[in-house]
Amino acid sequence: MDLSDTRITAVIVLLLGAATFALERAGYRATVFVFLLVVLAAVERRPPWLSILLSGGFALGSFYLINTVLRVPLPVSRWGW
Amino acid sequence: MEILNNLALGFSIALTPQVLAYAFIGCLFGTLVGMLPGVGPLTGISLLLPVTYGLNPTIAIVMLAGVYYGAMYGGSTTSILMRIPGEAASVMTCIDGYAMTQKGRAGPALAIAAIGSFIAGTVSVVGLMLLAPPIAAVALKFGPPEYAALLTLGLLVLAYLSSGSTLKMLLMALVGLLVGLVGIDQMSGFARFTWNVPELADGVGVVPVAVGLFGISEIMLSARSAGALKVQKPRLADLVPSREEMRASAAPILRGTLIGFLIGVVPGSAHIISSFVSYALEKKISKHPERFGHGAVEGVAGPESANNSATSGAFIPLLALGIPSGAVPAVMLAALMIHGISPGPQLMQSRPDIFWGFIASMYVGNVVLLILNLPMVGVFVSLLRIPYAYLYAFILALCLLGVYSTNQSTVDVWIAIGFGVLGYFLRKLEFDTAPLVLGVILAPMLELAIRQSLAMSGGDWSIFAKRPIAGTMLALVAALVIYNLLSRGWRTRVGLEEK
Amino acid sequence: MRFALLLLAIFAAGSTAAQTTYPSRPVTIVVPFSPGTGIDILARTLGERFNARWGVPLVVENKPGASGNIGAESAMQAAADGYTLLMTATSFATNVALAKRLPYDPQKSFAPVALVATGTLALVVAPTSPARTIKEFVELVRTKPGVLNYASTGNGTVQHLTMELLKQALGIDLVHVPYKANAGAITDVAGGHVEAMITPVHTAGPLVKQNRLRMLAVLSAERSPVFPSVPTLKEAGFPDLEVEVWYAMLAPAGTPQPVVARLNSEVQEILDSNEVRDALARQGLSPVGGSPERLAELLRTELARWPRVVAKAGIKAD
Repeated sequence: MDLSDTRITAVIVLLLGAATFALERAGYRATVFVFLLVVLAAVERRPPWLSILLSGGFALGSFYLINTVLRVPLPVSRWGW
Repeated sequence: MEILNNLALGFSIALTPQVLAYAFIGCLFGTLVGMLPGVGPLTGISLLLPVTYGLNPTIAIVMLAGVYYGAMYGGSTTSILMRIPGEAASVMTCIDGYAMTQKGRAGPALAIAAIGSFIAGTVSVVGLMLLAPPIAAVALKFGPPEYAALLTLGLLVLAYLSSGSTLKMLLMALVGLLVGLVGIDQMSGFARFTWNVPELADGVGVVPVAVGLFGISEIMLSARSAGALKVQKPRLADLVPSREEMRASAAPILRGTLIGFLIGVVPGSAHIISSFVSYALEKKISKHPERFGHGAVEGVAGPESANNSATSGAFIPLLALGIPSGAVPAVMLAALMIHGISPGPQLMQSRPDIFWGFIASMYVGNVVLLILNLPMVGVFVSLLRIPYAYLYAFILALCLLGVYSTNQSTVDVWIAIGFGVLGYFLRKLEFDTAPLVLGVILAPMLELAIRQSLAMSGGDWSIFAKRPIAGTMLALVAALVIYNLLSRGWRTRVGLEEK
Repeated sequence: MRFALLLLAIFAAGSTAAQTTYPSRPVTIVVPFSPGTGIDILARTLGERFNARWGVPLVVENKPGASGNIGAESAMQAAADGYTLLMTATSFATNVALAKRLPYDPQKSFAPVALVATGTLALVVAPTSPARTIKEFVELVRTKPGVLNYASTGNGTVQHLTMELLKQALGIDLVHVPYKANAGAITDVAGGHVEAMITPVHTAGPLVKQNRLRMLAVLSAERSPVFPSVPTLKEAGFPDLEVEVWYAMLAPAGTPQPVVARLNSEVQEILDSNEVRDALARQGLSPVGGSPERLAELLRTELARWPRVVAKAGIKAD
């Protein structure tokens, strides 16, 4: 197995685990935003402004669609986010 | 003919702009819901149900049925494009569907899935229309022993699912069966392997397992920092299935339709296995079975058709007898009753407008979905132009979202991740993961059916032989097993004999 | 000048905040069962009405698992500010009888809000059964103890426990065949594979009307309006057993009294509307309402009754 491949895979698994752990504590939007940001900017080294834009867009957009429009509740942290 | 008159009545209702509009909304909603992994038609229908209270019954039912079909169509989209099963029934489409995508044939895969679903949906509605009462009567004869026999037949399907070593396949199936048995035992109330985690009391759940094993493991295998995955730049011509592909799909579609319909009619949740059975059948009778798993269009056409016709089949016990054969028909039943409609044979006589309007709207729904999905093929395929390095991050987030929202449970997400890791290693070691999922689906149902049968007979195993339908099916299973053992070809393949 | 305006703005904002009454943001009701089940549909029906009356959505959060324990635990842990509620049913009480330990205290962890609806249970038998009345059924079973079967929706469910209660009261012995869901169970009784079962009246309704099921008795004080020809147990000369499936709304313990009272009156008004009454009636449910104390009383009775049944029948659950 190619070592750099395995490292990326391991990092992804760790990130997924961290996101799952954080999901109900930090709320959906924050967790997904950070998760996407880390994957895009740190792992895949995409330009930071683009990563922030895409991550924020997806996190907020999906939350709006699923939670507000479809009324399928998504986790919200204690502080309201 | 009377049926034509009735159909005319039905269509006159179904084709009014209002009914069409609601059918469209239902189908659209259903497609969206189906595309989200985990969230399924059950959630979609429950969400829309209160909204329908003020509407007239025909419209309400048409819209809700549209959600159900739409979800089946939508589920195949994510299966083909991202190898993420939208729900358990779409698992088999992931295998060859995604393989086709990797070969640049995503457009044709999507198109054939849509066309197959359309044909299956339409033909099975015809079946529903013509055969509902007699089939329903036969369906009632299926008690636990018959159910157990049917599921045993389903187990046999495992033998045909895998192309590699049979030993590996059996191992996967065993693991799947064991995983499927986790949970509180229905008959005695004892918790098995739940480790005091309350979320496991109802079992591990097929959706997290399928999403993890297929979707997440795929990403783990393909994510590379070198951005090496070929970026797809499909041309318009690539969106349309080739003549070869169309010809190859024709028979599988018809066979899938038949299989799905027959299995769907049986009350109970057996209709999930219709796509597995169709895949196994196509592989068995194909002249080049080694193509399966690498982009054989039959592996998409068959299962997709089976899925859709099982959906119609599941409506037969509902409409003809008022018996729901699963969770989704149960909600539809509740919806019908809330709107004052009591399904059953008298429905045809007392409210022919509703019965035939519903049937006509099922045709209409299928057409609407075809029209919705075919042009969207271009849109979906162009999604593939996004460099994988961006795409997979969002796919992972989508998996998180989908698996979590099914049961509002992080335990489900952990399970998905766990199976993702497992799937990663399994695929690296060249194990085929489909038998595992089938095991998880079959185990609880089969065990329960067997134990119910024994409870009914007071512990007497001969109940399986004494009842005609069960006995026949089991005899078939035994015959197939013996045939295979005697068949030279199989023995060589398995390694019991030298070539 | 600007400072004054700033002060004014802060003051205005502050006073608006002070004036927000309940509810000022979406309310979540936890339904501890999957979407599409009877309790879920009931919660969503209420939700639609709340939404229309308050202008603020009532969002249903399905948290199924462990016969409702997972959802209950989650609701218990939520803030007691009236923005999280719990919808629950008879299994709330039966779970207490079955579980060795629960993550919540059924009496103390929750504040009763309103008893929403009840449903009647009935005893049905297969069309192939020789018994045509409840008396014949009892005699039939007494001649064949331990031979005939009955279906239920699973070990420890209300249907299972009620049948055990019936067995104890009538002195009969039937073998339990559990199923995973109501659909499978009732289908098999209709198909003659199993002899009898206890089921809600409305679930059996369509099949009884087609003569695919025979309803022998209803387990309530009065006959069901939908099936006026079916006697109650008492009328048939047997011990008066009344078991109902009930659905109720709870809130985490400590939710302020005015909020509970407001919710209770809203539920009452919703249940009084014709549209909701009709929808409920068609599902075989009777709207109830009443004060939170009425619900508290019911909970007390139920929590006392089921452990006795379970102990006597020797039912276990882990």
